[in-house]
Order: sequence, then C-alpha cells, then structure tokens
Amino acid sequence: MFKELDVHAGKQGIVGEGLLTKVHQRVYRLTAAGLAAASDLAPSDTIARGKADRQLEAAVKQILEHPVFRQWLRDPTRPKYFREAGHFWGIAPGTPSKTVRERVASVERTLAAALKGLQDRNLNEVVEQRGKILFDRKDIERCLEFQSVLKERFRKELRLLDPDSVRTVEQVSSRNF
Amino acid sequence: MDFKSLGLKQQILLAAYQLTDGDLQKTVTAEELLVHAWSEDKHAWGLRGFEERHHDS
Repeated sequence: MFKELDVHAGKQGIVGEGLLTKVHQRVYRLTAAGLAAASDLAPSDTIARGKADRQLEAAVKQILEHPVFRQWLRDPTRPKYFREAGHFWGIAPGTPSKTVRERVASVERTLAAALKGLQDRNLNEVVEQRGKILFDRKDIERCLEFQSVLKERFRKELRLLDPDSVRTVEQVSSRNF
Repeated sequence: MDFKSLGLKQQILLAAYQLTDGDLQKTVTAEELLVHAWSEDKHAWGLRGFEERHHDS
C-alpha cells in the first residue's frame, strides 16, 4: 500500500503525483486533480463526474484569481521576490521539501486536469449556471505559462527548499496517470 | 466498471473516492484505504497465502 502511496524505488506515488495529499502520517485527502482522475475511472457515474467538475472548477478559479497571478498578467516582471511566488504556491522557507514538491506539483496537476477536461468535452470555456464564463482554455494555458516562469525565475530558491523539486516536478508533469 | 480490472494505483484512488464520497475535506487513513481495497480485490491486497482471510499489512 505504501509503495503505491509514497515514493518507492524512484517512482512517484499517488501523493507525489498530486492525486492525494498527505495530511498527517498515514492520513490522506483527495485533491481536486485526484477527484477528476477518480471520476475518469467511472465515466458512467454522473454524480461523481458532476462533483469532480465542481471541485476542479473551484480549485482552478482559486488559482486563476490569485493576486500574484493577476499581478503577473498586468506586469510580467512581477513577482520579483520569492515570498510572492511562495504565497502563490503556499510555501515558505522552512516548508518541508516534500510539501514544497507536492504544492508546486498540485498547481500544475489541477490546471492540467482542467485543460484535459475541456479537451475531452471539446469545450473552450467553463460556464457557471448563470451564464458567466468562469475560465477558458487560454486562462489555463496562461497560468501554466506563469507556473513555468515562476519555476524558472525562482529555480535557485526552489532547489534550496527541495533539491529534487525542479527535476521531480518536470517528471511529474510529463507523466500521465 | 470492475474494481479488479484497475491497476493498484487506480484502485487506491477509487477507494479514496468511495471512502470520502468525493469530499475533498474528508480525510482517509492508509488503513482504511487498505481494508477497502482488500474488500474489493482480495488477491491484489491480501496477505500471501491468506488472501481471502487477511489483508496484507
């Protein structure tokens, strides 16, 4: 069980892939990306699909509305300091390396899952019940670009917090579940 | 969808989904995941030689 949950023999476990998050020792929680992946396993379960879509939309909205991302859209030279990037990722100096890795990866996982959801349904945007556009494909692509810029801009700081983070995140994002 | 037709990682993910009912705030322990996965696929998660009676620790 733990081989599948955590890192084993150089392979990412489910936690490392951002599908579950480790809350405490031996205690886990589903992530929005994990819920989307779980609902893919049972495509005929419309309740699961609806729930996964809503959770994923909420998680994507939270990322897209983050002030650090909004600032970058207005001025690509921002953020200038790692503490701002850390605010976006939810990390700071002293955060355990595994948590750093998981949180940085979880942003990518969430955005990638949303992009996949749009592609699977051949949609360009997600619209809420009252007809307002929550986000579209370009918003997600732009945010993924922002994530790459952040990782490149703060590569040194990320390496300091988690020496394996940059390499591992690249591996995670290139691997499909 | 047949639980047994899934890979081990996918089985754990589905177990997590079924135990939390898709609630992202609910937590689940490794032991709960194991017992649930074993109850669905005893040969994948059972103790070798005792698969039908005991889950693997």
